[in-house]
Amino acid sequence: MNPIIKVEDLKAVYLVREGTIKAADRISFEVQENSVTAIVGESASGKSTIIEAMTKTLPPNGRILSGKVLYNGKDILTLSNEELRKIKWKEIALVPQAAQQSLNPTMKIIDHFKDTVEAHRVNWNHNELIKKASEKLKMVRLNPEAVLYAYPLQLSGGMKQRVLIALALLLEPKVLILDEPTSALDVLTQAHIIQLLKELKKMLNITLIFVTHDIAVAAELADNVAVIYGGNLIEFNSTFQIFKNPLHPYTNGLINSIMAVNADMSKVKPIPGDPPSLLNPPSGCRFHPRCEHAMEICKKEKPQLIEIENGAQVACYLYKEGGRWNETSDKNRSY
Amino acid sequence: MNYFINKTLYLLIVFAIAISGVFVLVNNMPGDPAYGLAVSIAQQRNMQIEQALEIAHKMMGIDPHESIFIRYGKFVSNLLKGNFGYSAFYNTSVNEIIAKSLPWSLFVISLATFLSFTIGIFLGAFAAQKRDTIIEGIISTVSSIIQAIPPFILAVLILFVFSVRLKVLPLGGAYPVDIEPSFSLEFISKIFLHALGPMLAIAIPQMASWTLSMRGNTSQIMEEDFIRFAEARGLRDSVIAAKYVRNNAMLPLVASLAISVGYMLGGQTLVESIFNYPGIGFYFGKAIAVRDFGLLTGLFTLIVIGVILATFIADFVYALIDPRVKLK
Ligand SMILES: Nc1ncnc2c1ncn2[C@@H]1O[C@H](COP(=O)(O)OP(=O)(O)OP(=O)(O)O)[C@@H](O)[C@H]1O
Ligand code: SF4
Ligand SMILES: [Mg+2]
Repeated sequence: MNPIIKVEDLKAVYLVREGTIKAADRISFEVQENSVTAIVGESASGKSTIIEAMTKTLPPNGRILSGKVLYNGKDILTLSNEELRKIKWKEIALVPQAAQQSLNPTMKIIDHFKDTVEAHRVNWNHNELIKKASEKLKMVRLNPEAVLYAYPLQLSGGMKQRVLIALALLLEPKVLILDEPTSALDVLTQAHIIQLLKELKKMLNITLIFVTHDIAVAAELADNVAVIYGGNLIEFNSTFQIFKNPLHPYTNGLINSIMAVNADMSKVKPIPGDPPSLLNPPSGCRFHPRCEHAMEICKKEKPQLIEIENGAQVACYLYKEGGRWNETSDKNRSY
Repeated sequence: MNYFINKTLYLLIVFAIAISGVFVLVNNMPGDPAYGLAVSIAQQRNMQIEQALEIAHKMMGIDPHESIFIRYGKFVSNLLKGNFGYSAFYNTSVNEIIAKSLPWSLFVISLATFLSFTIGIFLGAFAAQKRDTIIEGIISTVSSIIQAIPPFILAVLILFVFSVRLKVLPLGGAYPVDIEPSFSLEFISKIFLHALGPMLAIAIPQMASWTLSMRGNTSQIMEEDFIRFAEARGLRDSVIAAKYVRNNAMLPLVASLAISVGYMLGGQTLVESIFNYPGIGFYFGKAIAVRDFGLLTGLFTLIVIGVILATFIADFVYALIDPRVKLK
């Protein structure tokens, strides 16, 4: 299999008055064509930052400091604006998390579809545009007649979010990136959108990357899961392996707490401590202040993402390249 | 529909209050409102001032023994009939003065507004697009300085430089006295030439303030998520700049256009006086100078009505162009 997207050593920050927020640091992973990848992590861990940096759609104060994002072998980050513009949406579409403010308040929904189509010189006449837009809106369970001629403020949050998904489907992109696609939706609509994504996965020739803090959704949809902690990618593995055998202590805690919810509430063991500050992140492994296995080296040097076995990747000193436990820490492993 | 009924009711109430305000203000000014007229009658007809006052009172329809309430009633009923009163100094109805001066004022104001608005919008948007560059710095600093210059000082400057020194602009009036008004090209070009001085004096500070507002609005809009999302969809920069940034940034400014026109009606007294330009402001200045209370009341009322109407129109325009207001 070929990676359609390969992220190498991506580093992005936000400039704020107090300094720089290191929201994505040394992020590397591969996405295979037609696979589904979930990016999970707690709030403010840098999930949105990663996918926005990948598509060069960071907010005005965001900066990409280094790294590569290879799309079919070509680095997106070094493309000219015009080359990038042509790829955006037509080949790689990003549905943002900020669904509430992502539509032009003074333009009807139909005009958003129209602008998108015109930007990519797709030769549809007005009727075709209406037909295609209606088709996509129906896919996300919206009534085209009610939505197309409405202004954004006439739509509810969940409706806007689905309009964005419909917009993203319009040009049938190769890669569809969704940031919390179900967060503004009620349980029923949420289930429907997840169903839709499942169908998309089967039906279209499409690669899906989606961000979620709901690990259950990831379990349901994804082939692979990337776990983000404090702006770092700490584990990348197949969904099956992530759940069966979480490697990183943080992932382990995360999975355990989810499983406990399903099994026995009394066993819920939240991970102690607070999420790290990204303005002044902890030295070494960013998880070390909360990690029960922390060693001296963890405080000093940042662990690299290394491949263990069968493509499983983890950034933790408990592991050594090639799949062996570190001798010194073996006895610490209590799980 | 409810919106308009509400607004109209509101408008009527504001009118009533404003007009009463004008009446009370002028009636509490020291001196007899007919005094000015009486003096000129006394001089012309060589009679005693008391006699002349009586005649003047009659001419202006004032009975000095009437109570203030009756006078107020008359004032209002006259206004309702569209009668703005009588000018003692010009010895004619205020309506007539309005009829011949309002077009000139509106002419200059519309020219000034059109010019300052289009240039200001363009410069403001341009400056915002060039954020953090020397260009933005220059445009913003120069605009802040120019914005602070009172129009009458500019008027004096323009008059001195272009009319007195360089002699490229006329010294005053709406058109040369030696040309008969007509629709000939020559006459029309003269009209524009004569309007140029007062127009520039008003337009330049206006332009600076439009520039600053537009720059502020534009940089604010550029931070919005929907701009980022438009970029994410691969829209061309030119489309984003026009439909997404400019349209949204301009919206509040288009609405305040009407307000600014309304305020200019009364606000250019000094400029019109300096250029001897026979607009509303010129007559307003005259009325104050010669204490022509009738003219003063009439023009004051007109200006107040103008400002209120302008505010109303601004609201209306805003509702018309902004779906966020329209749909409420
Ligand atoms: N425009 C910005 N300016 C400054 N800091 C920002 C900006 N956007 C995000 N951040 C900070 O960067 C960090 C990562 O934010 P990000 O939005 O990527 O998190 P996330 O994982 O997507 O969280 P969530 O699940 O809440 O969406 C956070 O600490 C956040 O406060
Ligand atoms: S590197 Fe050290 S601190 Fe970080 S997760 Fe592994 S053991 Fe814990
Ligand atoms: Mg996010």
